[in-house]
Amino acid sequence: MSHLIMLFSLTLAAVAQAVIPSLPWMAMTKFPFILGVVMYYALTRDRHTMLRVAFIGGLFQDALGHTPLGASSLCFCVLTGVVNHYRDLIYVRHVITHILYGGLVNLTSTLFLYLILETDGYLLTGYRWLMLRLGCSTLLGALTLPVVFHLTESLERRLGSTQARSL
Amino acid sequence: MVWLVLGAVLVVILNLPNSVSRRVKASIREVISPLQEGITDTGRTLKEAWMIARGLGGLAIKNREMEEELIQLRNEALYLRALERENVALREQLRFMQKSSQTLVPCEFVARDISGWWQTVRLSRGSADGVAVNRAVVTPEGVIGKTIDVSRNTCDVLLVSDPGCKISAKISRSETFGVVSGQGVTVNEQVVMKMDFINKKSSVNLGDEVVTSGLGGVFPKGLFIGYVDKIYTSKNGLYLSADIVPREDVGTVNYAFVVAEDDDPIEELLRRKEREAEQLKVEEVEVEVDVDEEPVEVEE
Repeated sequence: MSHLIMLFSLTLAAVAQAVIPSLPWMAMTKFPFILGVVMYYALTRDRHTMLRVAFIGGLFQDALGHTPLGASSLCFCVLTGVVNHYRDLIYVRHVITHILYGGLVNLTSTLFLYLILETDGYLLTGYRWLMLRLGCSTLLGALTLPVVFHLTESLERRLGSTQARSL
Repeated sequence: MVWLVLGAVLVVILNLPNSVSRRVKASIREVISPLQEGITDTGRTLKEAWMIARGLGGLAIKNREMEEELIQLRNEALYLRALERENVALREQLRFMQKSSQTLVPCEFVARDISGWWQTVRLSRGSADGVAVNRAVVTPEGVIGKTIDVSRNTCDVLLVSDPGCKISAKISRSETFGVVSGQGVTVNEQVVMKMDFINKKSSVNLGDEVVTSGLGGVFPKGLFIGYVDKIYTSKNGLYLSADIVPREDVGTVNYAFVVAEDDDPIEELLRRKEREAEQLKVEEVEVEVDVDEEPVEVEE
């Protein structure tokens, strides 16, 4: 059941991320719903589940875009590994944690993906656009993770996931 | 241990050949795109429902039907105008060549690029409908991009506003050639393109129409791209450059047409010659039959 919830959450996040438009004055930065779901599992689950979610979430993000397959998975796996490593030192369910982690993780993910895409020659962008994009990524990450965390946790509780109940 | 396994899997995935990687992506897209289409359609329906609730009655539905009909008619008119121009040019040169026919596949908008790194949109038709990679995508307002990825039921379109999209173009009035590339979207959501390599001695004015030149093999000739908004000398001083503005915002289209196939004009000509030869043979047989008939007796 928890696997189904995970797949459902990731699919819904992927669809929402694709359908909701981005703003030109925010350097076309998207709301990081997929990363939000991945971070939820990184903060609340064991390592195996977390890596599985990061891998699948990354594949979804790559498949629905034009990033090389595996790039987002690699990025998400590394980030979730770091987050998971330090989660015992933070208040996992506190909204301030979500805001800070959301901003930091999305910023790092954006920079990481930019480096991969730029190195492989996929992008034609300037530094000013990149700076704007990094700033907006931080902001949207900070706004998105608290909401996604709360929604995913509520969904799991309503569907009777025992792991969510034990949090 | 789990990290090693994961690392190995990621290394394999990152180094997959393009064809395999595309197939994997296409299969994931095929699963998710119906959901995206459903949500987009729901959004559109809700918008219409809202208009109805505000007291506009059936106007919203009628508006949509008329919009669809208008798009079809305007696209036909655009195509016929291009045909007429070409017909006049051919008559003047006293040469006749079979016009290549274009199959246009109507598509609906499904979703945008999920990452925001590229200016792309996803449309609701794919290889099952005759859509292929590197095909022009047009609306009655002109070119909006080209297909870059095609799965069975969807295709991704790289918009003209993306810096990676380059179109061989010419200024309609003076027949001056150049290359149009996207420059992104401004803060007030205005799409800007840039036309480079314009000959310094050529005549370029503000407001000139820019159309596709037909060179490059992707975009058919004569499709509208935009208007000249600004003219300046290139950085190296060797050419002129111009800012081009399209007629409508390419990122907010609801419908578009993919140029699915162009019949090869040479093959079409050969097929026509074969038909004519067969017709001549039939006529020869009819004449032979006439000769074999008994002569008619003429009364004195």
